[in-house]
Amino acid sequence: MTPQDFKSPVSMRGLSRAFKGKTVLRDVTLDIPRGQFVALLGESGSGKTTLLRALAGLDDDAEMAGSYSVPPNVSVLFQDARLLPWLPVIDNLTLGLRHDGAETEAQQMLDAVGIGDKAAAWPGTLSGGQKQRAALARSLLRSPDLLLADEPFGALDALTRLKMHALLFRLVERRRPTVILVTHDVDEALLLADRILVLRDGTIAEDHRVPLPHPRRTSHPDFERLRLSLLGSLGVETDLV
Amino acid sequence: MNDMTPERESVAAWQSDRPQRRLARLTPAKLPRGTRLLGPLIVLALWEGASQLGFLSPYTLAAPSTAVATGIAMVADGTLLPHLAASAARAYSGLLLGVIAGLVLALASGLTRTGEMLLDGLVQVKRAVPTLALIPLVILWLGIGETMKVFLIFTAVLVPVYINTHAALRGIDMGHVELARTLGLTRAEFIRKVALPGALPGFFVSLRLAVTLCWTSLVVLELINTQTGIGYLMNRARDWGQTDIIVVGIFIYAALGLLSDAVVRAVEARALSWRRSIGS
Repeated sequence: MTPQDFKSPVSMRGLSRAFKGKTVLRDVTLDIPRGQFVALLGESGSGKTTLLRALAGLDDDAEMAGSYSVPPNVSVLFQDARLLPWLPVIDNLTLGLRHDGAETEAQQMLDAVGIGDKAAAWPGTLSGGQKQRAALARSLLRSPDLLLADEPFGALDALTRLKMHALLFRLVERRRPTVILVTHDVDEALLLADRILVLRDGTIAEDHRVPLPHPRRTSHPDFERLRLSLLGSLGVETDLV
Repeated sequence: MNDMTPERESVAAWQSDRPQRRLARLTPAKLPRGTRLLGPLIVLALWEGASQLGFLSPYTLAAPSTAVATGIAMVADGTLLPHLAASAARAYSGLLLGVIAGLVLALASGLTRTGEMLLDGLVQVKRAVPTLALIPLVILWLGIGETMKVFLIFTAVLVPVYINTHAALRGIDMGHVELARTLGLTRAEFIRKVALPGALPGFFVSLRLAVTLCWTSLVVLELINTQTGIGYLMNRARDWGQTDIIVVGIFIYAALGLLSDAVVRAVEARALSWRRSIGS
């Protein structure tokens, strides 16, 4: 990869990954333009998380073929908030930041995600939603060029999840990093993403644009049409209930 | 709205008619301060009672009150404190060296592959060999003076400190390691912010074992060529049948054990205030 490629968007060329001989990701070739919000949908075991973790530079002991390039500044948002329980919330945000003023920026980011009063709290005292807000603040504080989010709202209750969707969208709108969001939730993908990829057996089976304007409403007929089509792609028979 | 009202009332009645279902607590409630001493106090009371009623001869076992009186007399005439000081010096220098060495070895072995290859097997071998079995050899190497005693306490203390701290370092949450990697932490930052705080609970467990272990090792060692120490006092008292002095020695060990444990617990509660777990 030349430095020129790093200026360019996220790209993968024939990317494959296998764990103990079992292929999880098969020959994925993909380009994502700067600032695009991509949702990765797929059934369990389809390779969504593996793709995300490959781009994050994790699982580097796995067998790998092909190549990929990502911008230098990547943030990862995990499903579990992964706050260190022995550091107050604000110190979790500034972990690994070495520049002056990181603390002030962290406080501003906590205010932006709505838990400005929790800066000095132990992570163990936060609710699930507050923890995930703190984790989101930690990711965005680093002003990433690429945000990799692995089912970040999967463990939250439905109401908190709706609030987090709005929050994530609002914060991402400000600086427009490229976002790759792994999710099981078709509605979440349709509410947030510009583009939806469906993974099946480790390859990209479908590539949809979402032409709906923001703010999106689940009641919009186009939304419903895309929803049914995606659920069909994921093997969900919607007329059973 | 009108026909809703009776239904809501009946729901309320239905709820209040039934006794509230209480869930089992499953974990014990937090103890009030000092109640940990209840068990020892009951034993003391029974013991004192048995002595006063003549069930226990002073030649078999002195009454606690007699032992306390003897202890106070020994403090007053200056015969106890020099022995206590001598024992404490041995126990705590061995403890200090053992904790430092155990910690350093655990870090070297828990954080580096080379360290684990070289050190872990050695400590496991040391763990399998009883301290008593080392005494003859260590006497040949270091003589029968203070060095030998401190060295043997040091080797005894080292083992639990190493085992618990090493296990805690190895048990670090892989999720936290991945987080540290994605945040771009340096190795030094990782050790300082993630590995060490994560291993701290395990280290405190080992410290609580170590503060009592250093005293228990000492009694045996004070049988060997010494004119000072609590262990020496107790053995001399055995030769003269003075059970009250033996009991004084036992009381001192018990008091030191409880006190040391309380000190470590207090430090632990401050250092691990982020943790909310059973009984802590």
